[in-house]
Formats: sequence, C-alpha cells, structure tokens
Amino acid sequence: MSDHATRRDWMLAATTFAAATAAAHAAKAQGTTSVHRLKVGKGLRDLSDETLTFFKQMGIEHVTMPTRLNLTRRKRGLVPSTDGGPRNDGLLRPWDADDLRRIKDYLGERGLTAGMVHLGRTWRVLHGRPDAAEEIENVKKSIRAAGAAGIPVVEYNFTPLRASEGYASETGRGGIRLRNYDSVRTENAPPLDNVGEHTREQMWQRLEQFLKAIVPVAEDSNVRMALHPNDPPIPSYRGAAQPVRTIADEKRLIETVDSPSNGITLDTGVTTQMGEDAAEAIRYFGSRDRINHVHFRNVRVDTPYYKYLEVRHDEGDCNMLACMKAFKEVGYRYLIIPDHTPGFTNDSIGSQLGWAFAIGYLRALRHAAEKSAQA
Amino acid sequence: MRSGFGLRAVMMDSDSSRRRFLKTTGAVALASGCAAADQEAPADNTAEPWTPRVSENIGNLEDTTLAWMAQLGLEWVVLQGTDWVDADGKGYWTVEDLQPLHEQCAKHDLGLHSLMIPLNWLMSPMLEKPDRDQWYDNINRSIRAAGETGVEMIEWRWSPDFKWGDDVGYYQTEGRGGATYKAFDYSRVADRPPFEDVGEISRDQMWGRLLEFTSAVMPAAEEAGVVMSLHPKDPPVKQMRGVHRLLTNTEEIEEFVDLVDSPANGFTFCQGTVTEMGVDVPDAIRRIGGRGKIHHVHFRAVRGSVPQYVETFIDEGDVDMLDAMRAFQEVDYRGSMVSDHTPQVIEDWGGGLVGRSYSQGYIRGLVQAVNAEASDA
Repeated sequence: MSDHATRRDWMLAATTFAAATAAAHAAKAQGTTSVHRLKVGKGLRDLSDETLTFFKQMGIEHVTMPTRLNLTRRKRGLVPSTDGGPRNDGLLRPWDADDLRRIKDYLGERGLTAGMVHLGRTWRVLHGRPDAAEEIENVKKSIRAAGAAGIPVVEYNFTPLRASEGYASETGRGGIRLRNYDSVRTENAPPLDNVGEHTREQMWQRLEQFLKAIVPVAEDSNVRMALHPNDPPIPSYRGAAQPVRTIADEKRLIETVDSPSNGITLDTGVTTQMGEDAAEAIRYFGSRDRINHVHFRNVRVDTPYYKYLEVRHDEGDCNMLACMKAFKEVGYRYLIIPDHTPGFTNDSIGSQLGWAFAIGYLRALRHAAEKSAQA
Repeated sequence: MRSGFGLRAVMMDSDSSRRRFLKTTGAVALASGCAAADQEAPADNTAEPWTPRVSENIGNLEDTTLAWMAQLGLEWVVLQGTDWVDADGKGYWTVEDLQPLHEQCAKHDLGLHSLMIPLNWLMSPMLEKPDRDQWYDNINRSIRAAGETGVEMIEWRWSPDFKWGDDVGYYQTEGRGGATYKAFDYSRVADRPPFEDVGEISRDQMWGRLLEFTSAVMPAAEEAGVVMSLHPKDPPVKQMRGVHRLLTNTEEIEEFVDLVDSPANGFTFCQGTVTEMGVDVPDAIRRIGGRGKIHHVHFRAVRGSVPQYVETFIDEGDVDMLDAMRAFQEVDYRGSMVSDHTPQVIEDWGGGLVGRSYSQGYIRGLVQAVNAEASDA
C-alpha cells in the first residue's frame, strides 16, 4: 500500500469518527452505542423534492447520486430495457468536478450525503476499440473530478453487453410483480453488429489494462472504485463474454491490482445467483477491505448463474441478517443500498410501497446486527 | 434459549416459561408421557420458526387494500373499521353478513382473523342506558355469528369519550424528513369542560359498567370459541374532561384480567399506549403476555410519555423494538400483531399504506432476527 493510501485511510478514519459521534447520540435511543453505524442508504436517479423528502422520512441519510441535476421523476419498468450496445461514437465523456460538487451540495443542503456515483459504460474500452485510449483518459478525469468533489466511491460495470433480454416478469403472492431471469431465453441470440464478439480472454486483458491505468489515479484522488459483477452472471451473451461472474473472478479482480481503490460492489443478489453464500463472500472481501459498495437484495435460485427469481428482501435464498452481521463484523464503511424492489401493484410513481418495505426491513436488520455485535 | 436459566428455574417459573420449556425439550416427548430425560430432545432447528400472526388493521376489504396486504406477505386480516358490515342497521351481525367478508378475504389468500365491535353498539352499555340488555343480546348474537364463520378474535374499546384531535389534546407536529407526527399534550385539555354528549363518569361507574358488560358477553365468547381483546384507553391519562379512563396503567390492566377471569378475556397490547404509560415495555410484555392475556398487539413506537408524547416511526421511539420483539418471542406470543399507524409521509396515498409498509418491513426483519437468536443460542 502506498504512503498516500495510508494517509488517506487515516484521514478517512478521522472524518468518519466525527460523523459517528453524532450518529452515536442518535443510536442511543435504540440502545446501540456502536460508533460505526452501517450506512443503509438509497440509490437516487432523480433529485425531485418528493423523492428526497420521501427517503429522508424513511430515515435515509446516505445516497448515491446521479451525474445530472435531474428533477423529473419517472417510474421505472420492472423488466430492464434491452441493452442495444453503443448508439453513437461510444465515447464516455468526462465529468466536471464543479458539476458533481453542485449535485453533491444540492443533496447536502437537504440533509443527504452523497457517497457514490456511477460511471457510465466505457464502450470503447469494453469492445477493445483502437480509439479506447481517449476514453481511458476521460475516465481518469472523471475519477479526479469525483475525488475533487469529495465523493468517495465510483462504481462501474465491465459488461460488453448486458443479457437484459433474459428477464421477464411474473406474478407472485397477491398479484405482486416479480422479475425472473432464464438464460434459455437468449441462448441462441446472435451477436449484434455494433457490438461484435468478445472472448473471455479479451475481456480480461482489457479489464487488466483498464485497472492498471485507473487504479493509481483513484488512489491519488482518494476514490475507491467498485466493480459491479456481471448481472446476469452467465458466461456469454450474444457472443460477448461476461468477465466477472464468479467469486473466483472477483478474487482475480482484486488481485490484479492490489489496492483498496480496486474493490467490488458486493451484490448479495448476484452472489446468491452464483449459488454462493453471500455472508461468506462479505467476510472474504470485507476482511480484505475490498468492498466499496453494496447492493442489498434477495433472490430465489432455480439453477445457479442461469435461472432465478428476484424476490422481496425477506423471502429469498440469501440470509440477509447473516449478511448484515457480516458487514458489521468486517467494519464495512460505505453504502448499503436496497437494490431492486418487487413491483407492488397500484404503487405510486416513486414505488413508495416497495421501497418503504425494503428500507424498513434493512433498518431492522441493521439494528439487530449492531446490537448483536455489542452483545 | 437466551435466558440462560437452569432447567429447574425454568420449570418452576410461570406459564410462559413452561411454554418455553416445552418448546425446547419437545412437546411431543412430554405429551406422550415419556420422561423428558429419556428422550433425545429434537434439535432446535427442526422447530418451526416463531412467528406472531403479523397482519394489518384495516377499515375496508377493497381489492386494492387486500392486494397490498397479500403482497406484503401477510396472511390475515384484522378488520378494525366495521361500521359498514351491518349494512341494514340491525344492530348485530349474522352469519349471512359475515360470510361475504370471508369470501372477499379468501379471494386474496387472506383469512379474516378478527372484527371490531362498532363503537355505537357499546354506547348504551357504556352510558348505562336502560336499553342496554338489548345490546348485550345483539353483541352476543354477533359474537356467535363471528365464531361460527371462523373469526377468532373480537376487538372492543371501552371509550364513551372516543374522540380525536384537538378535543382530547392531540396536535400535529413535524418529524423526520418533515413527516407529520401525531402528538399529545395534556395541558392543552387540562382545563376543558366535560363533553356535552358524554358528561362526567366516575371511576366506580366506569368499572361497574365494564364488569357488567364483561359478565354479559364473556360466556358467549367462550362458547363461540373467540377471544375478546380490549384496547387500553389512549391517551392513557386517568381522567380527562370529567371522564375516568380505564386501563391507563399496567397495574390496572392486570387487575382487569384478574377480575374478569375468563379464557376469552384479554388485552390489546398497544405498544404505543403502553409506552405512553412510561413503563418498562418489554417487562410489561413478559408479565401480561406470560399470563396468556395478550390477544392482539399494536407494534408501534412513541417518544415521551403522559403528559407529553409524540407518535414516531417504528424505529425512533423510546422502546428498543428488538427487545420488545424478544419479549413477545419469550412468552411465545402467537396472536395477531399489526403496525397500527405511523406518521404521515409525503404523498401518503392510501391512508397510511406507505408508512405501514415501512413498519411491516421493520417487523419482518425483527421477527427473523429473534428467530436467528433463538436458533444460535
């Protein structure tokens, strides 16, 4: 670890402590005196007053932020739209530190701390195009901008083409809309012209190059990178290999460049889809300080990697309480957001029923995990 | 088990501990008359997880309301708003009135667990009117009809002064994220005169009328196989505007279940109201629940206590909700449990469904947590 990283960790510890003192006071009412509260947060797509007010009322203090000051709410479909690959020249434009700061401050003035921002798709890098160098420079600029704006984590995907065509919705108890995935639906789908075919070896070569270029910049910028594993975690889709789809792949990732700035998004759902014990994965990566962001969700698995159903947080194959306890045990300090929520019928534009249930559930588990850590 | 008591202590303890003991050693072994010591106790993880009958108290059986409950994963309905059930105003329910309610619930894979006695049926008994015998008959008839159709619980209130808002010291205040909270301050009504439609009612009158009512209806409830669950007076101040209020402290609640010694008689453990009493809530759960006298639970949170308090979101009140849930698990409470009500959130459509969804998520998490503790121990 570089001197820089050590100093950064020390500074981080100091600022975390100041924030935690206030949190400890609030925690007293619930009988928890733990200094580090797990940050149960929420991913934000829009910054409308209604959205921000609602999540604050649900007790949320930490959020991920969009890269635009988007004030318009839009209801999201349960089944994601099909990934069509790049539509234009495929160049990811860099962020500007002032733009990010403006959004972060907008949230801060409203009592919300922005803890993560998501990098867009780096099509040129992902598809190994000869003009990828310009895009890597843009990513470096973006990471520096995030650091300058004081955003500690940047999440990204390394997905040449996402197998979103394999999703469908089904009806669960009481008419609730659930999303399922079955790889059979896309088994024979041909490659797309604007994407082409990409082997696993090629994808890993590109990923290694990418990491070697950006991780030092992230270290210098006090930013931690979080790679979200490929979801769905199938080997290949339309001829495009999905490079980070197993625990072994995630281990390989953090070993490729050994730095806390080179970490993962631990997605409890994807980990369970792999047929793995998510709590064990949390202990493995968390004890190495390589979890930089968390998607907290549940799933019921039919065939690991290939077929599963995304369910309400409380009713899947993943032991969510064990996960929350594992995050506490390893001293995880970044965001935990309830990812994906089933579609309650007749829900409001902000899907309030679904999010309220999910956040309430997560906060109960957090309380139980923190109390059990004290005992 | 978490208590860490020796076996002897557990065996000598109250009913609740006995239930715990049975649970740990295996009820089958004891019931079949085998000495427990000769039998290998079944492993704890083969036992069904403990769960109360988590539900919601609702005032209509519209499809959207029931779909919401089913989608939350609930299986039972606590019908609290029942004024519309006796559609033709007979003053009682018949099997024919209630059967369609069961059918409507079943459409959504829900069971109808309980019904609330409409307050206007109780006005004559509560005010000691000459025609109250007729109402006892009506209510008994309704209880029998309910039992016959499979309803397991009847909720009731003893509140001749059942009022809301400013009249009884409530006001609204702003809480987390600007949500609207209900708050109470007794000083707002301390000097206000009695209600014209209620008048003054003394402690002796309230108790006398209450006991007359229970002796009139408990036998019918026992016979019908339903339990009666009485909500404590909320806000729990002893006296307001000339009316003595009953069951405003835990001593009086225990006195009530002592005096009315019927298996049908029990108490709605409104955790909000009990918190407002300023007592140790988990201890009250263990004491009253340990006697098997909690028939229904309102699992909600409050900050402060009489004379001043605020009704909060479930996770920010004075009581540690995990400790409370542990206490329910300790006494092996298996009755119904609802979130009751919560602060009003932004765009609070559906009359509080959003806030209740939050509470439901929280309750689900706590139930899983206490079960995990039980199987870890």
